Amino acid sequence: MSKSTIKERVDEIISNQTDNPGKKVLNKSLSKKLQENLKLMEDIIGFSDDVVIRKFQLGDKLGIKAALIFIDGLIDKQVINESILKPLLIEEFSADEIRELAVSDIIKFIENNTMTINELKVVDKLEEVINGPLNGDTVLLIDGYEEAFVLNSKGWEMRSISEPQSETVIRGSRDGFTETFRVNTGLVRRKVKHPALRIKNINLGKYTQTNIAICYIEGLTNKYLVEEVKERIANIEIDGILDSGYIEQLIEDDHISPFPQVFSTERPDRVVANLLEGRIAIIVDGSPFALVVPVVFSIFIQSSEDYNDRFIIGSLLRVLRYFAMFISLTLPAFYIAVIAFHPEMIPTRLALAFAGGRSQVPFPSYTEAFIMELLMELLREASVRLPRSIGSTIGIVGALIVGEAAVSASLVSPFMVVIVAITTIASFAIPNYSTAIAFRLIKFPLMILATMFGLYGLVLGLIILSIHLVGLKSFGVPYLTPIAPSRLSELKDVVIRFPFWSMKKRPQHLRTKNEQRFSSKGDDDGNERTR
Amino acid sequence: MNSVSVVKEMMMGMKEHGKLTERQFAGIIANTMLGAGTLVMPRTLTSSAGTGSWIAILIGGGLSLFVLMIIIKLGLRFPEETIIEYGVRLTNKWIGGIISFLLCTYWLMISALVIRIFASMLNSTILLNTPIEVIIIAMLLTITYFVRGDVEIIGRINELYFIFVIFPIIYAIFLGVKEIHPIRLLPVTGGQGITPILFATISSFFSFLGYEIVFLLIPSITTKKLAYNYGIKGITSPLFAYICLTFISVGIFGIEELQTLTWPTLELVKVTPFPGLLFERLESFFISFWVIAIFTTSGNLYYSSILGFTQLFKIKEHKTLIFPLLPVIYLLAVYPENIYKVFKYMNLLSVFAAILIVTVTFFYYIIAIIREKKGDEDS
Repeated sequence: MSKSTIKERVDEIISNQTDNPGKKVLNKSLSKKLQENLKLMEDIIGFSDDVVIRKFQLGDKLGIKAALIFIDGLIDKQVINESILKPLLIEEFSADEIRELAVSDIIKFIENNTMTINELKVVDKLEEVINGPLNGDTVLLIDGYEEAFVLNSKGWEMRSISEPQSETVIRGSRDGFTETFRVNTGLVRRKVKHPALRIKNINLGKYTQTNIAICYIEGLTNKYLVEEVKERIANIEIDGILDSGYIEQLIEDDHISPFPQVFSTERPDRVVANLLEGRIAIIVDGSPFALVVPVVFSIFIQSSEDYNDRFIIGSLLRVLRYFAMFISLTLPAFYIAVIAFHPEMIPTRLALAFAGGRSQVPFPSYTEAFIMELLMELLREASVRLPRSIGSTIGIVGALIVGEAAVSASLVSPFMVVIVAITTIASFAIPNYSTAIAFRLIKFPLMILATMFGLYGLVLGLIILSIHLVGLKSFGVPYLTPIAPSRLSELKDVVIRFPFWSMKKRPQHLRTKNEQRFSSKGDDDGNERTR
Repeated sequence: MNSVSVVKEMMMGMKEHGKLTERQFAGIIANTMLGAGTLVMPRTLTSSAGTGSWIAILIGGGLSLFVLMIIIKLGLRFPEETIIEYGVRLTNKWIGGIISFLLCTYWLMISALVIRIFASMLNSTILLNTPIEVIIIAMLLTITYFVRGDVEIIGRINELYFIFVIFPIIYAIFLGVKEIHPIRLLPVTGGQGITPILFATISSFFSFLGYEIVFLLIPSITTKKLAYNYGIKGITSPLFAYICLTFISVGIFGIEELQTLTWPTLELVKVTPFPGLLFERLESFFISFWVIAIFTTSGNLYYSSILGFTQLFKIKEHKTLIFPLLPVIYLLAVYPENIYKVFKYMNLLSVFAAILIVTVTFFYYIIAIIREKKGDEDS
């Protein structure tokens, strides 16, 4: 497990430097001599140049040696100078009467009376002493004592809270998660001012020792679910966690499916909304994306704005998004099928226009469609990778020049450009990036099926897709809940977002302990179950 | 993965794992009944009783409902067993085994013929250049992917697709109503006395088959006491669809013309123009929607057949049988030389099946009552 790696390293160092292996166990605690402790620390951390060891004496007359160990770049220098060094060196140990008091029990004295530090721990295990500086804390060692202090001096350069890049809203909060763990958990906590909010930490990654927080609301979230999430996360053994995406891939149910089975969001308000429905959030240090489990498909088509605006507006936008989802998935395949197999479907005048546009094009419609769709994917990928200033140029070059030039060179018909443009725009309307990309991917097999069998192939493809979706599960919850298996009361929040007063219950598929989430006074049918 | 099953049990309280909800149960009945039959049914049902056919359909539907109720009643006596299992207990290994074998074979054959009918229709309407074998293989591969799943997947798919199966029918009904010539519906009683109506009743009873897969579904339902309720719900929507479709087809085409149409329901869509200008002729669209109805019918029957054979031969997993049976169902589907042979086989098969199912149902039910056998209610 992850914690043991530091222990292993300690053991290894100790057994190397001493001839007597029996001493190993004894040396796991600190020694009384400062020199020995420092030597040990240096050996374990390996003389890295960013590790600072500051030796000094307590007070001016006391003559007790002490040392501070911290890592430059992880600490707030102001805190160390003002709140640690200043009281230890100058203020506290200068007066005679205090000095007498201090000498009798210096550890107690420092712990209780000296430091102006908000978080302080007295430890005696070597492992904890090593862990301190690695996490941005400062360790204080005093000659003659087996105890050491771990002082909170964390402070490093971080990105400030800014608007989420991938999930912008017009009406809604503008704060998004950052890369800093505590800022992120704080953002969640700030929105839920209730003692039942639990934030449990786990350290993962053999080398990265990444902080991971599991957030849920006690007494609301199903406790078996919490246990399952904890277990799955605890079972991860990997050398490094660099993003929440690592966790997502390691805890999901089906590893082969293109569909995301864990919801990732940059928005604290969405995390909180999901916590309140009885889901569990996972926040990973270093990632501005929090994970939410378990999820159902409809979550990926929702936006927090659906709830912020009145329900008619919210429902309308949501219907539009489902439409966009369907367009982005099937439009090119549908085009191929109609042009190649069922031209009788198109009204005569439109068919003539189609034929006129295609008359100069040397390729069959499916080749044309594949060329344009691949080109579009290429443009999209290119514009994401390029620096932002050039990225917009690529958009213009790609959309206008390539499209226009391809049409006038008779490579593609103008209708194909329209179709590809609509498909691309529709896929941008899907609020979740992972879902949009899954649809982009599945579009191609559907195009192949449409090339082979026309609409018959397209429908067979959609059937296969729905069989796959129906069989998917996210932490035991069927992916297409509440559509299949159907739960009529939960259908109020799928395609249409019903007004709040009609959604009195939490989603039943999460098996929450406390189902009521909305009640209005004087409401007779408050407890009626729509099932 | 072990942990997944733990969560499933805990979260779902073992309620939905390997089980069907009542709504899924109703969906399976409805989707199995609404299949290839709907495409030809207005023609076949009206051939003997003419304009009086609706009476025959109503009576035939009532009879089917009655048989379904007996099937459920029989099933609920053995709440944890399928017909394959209690059949053997009620009679003996041989009689029960042979009946089960006949039943499963019938499901397999019907499944193949349904695909074949649809493939023929595709081949003669929208996919003129695609060989019929390729169409059949594409459908069979999709169905293979479908039946790999457990009964819960089957249930969810049926639940999800019910709306897509019923939608084209409702569409055809709604747009067809205004094209009806009321004179063609007269005389309302057929005007030929009671005999043709009785004949038509029997033939309509044959064409309503499909609900008999309930034989295998009873052990999977979560709330057993709702089985009657949802069984009725499941069977009424196809009956309603059949009556409406026949009524409208007769009203639009008249009896004589109807007899000359191979795919009357499709012709119905052809004569009804689509409002709006985006698409002109919608039969391709309609047929594409119909793929779903065919898929659910054939898929459910294939699944029943596989499940039945699995229990009959005491095989552990139903997945084992999917691939061995695939060539069989393919050969059954391509065997008939032309579409008229298909219809002929289909008719023969439904007569045989109707007799088999009715006999078996009442035979088992009477034995169960006489010998007072019941399943273990607790297990």
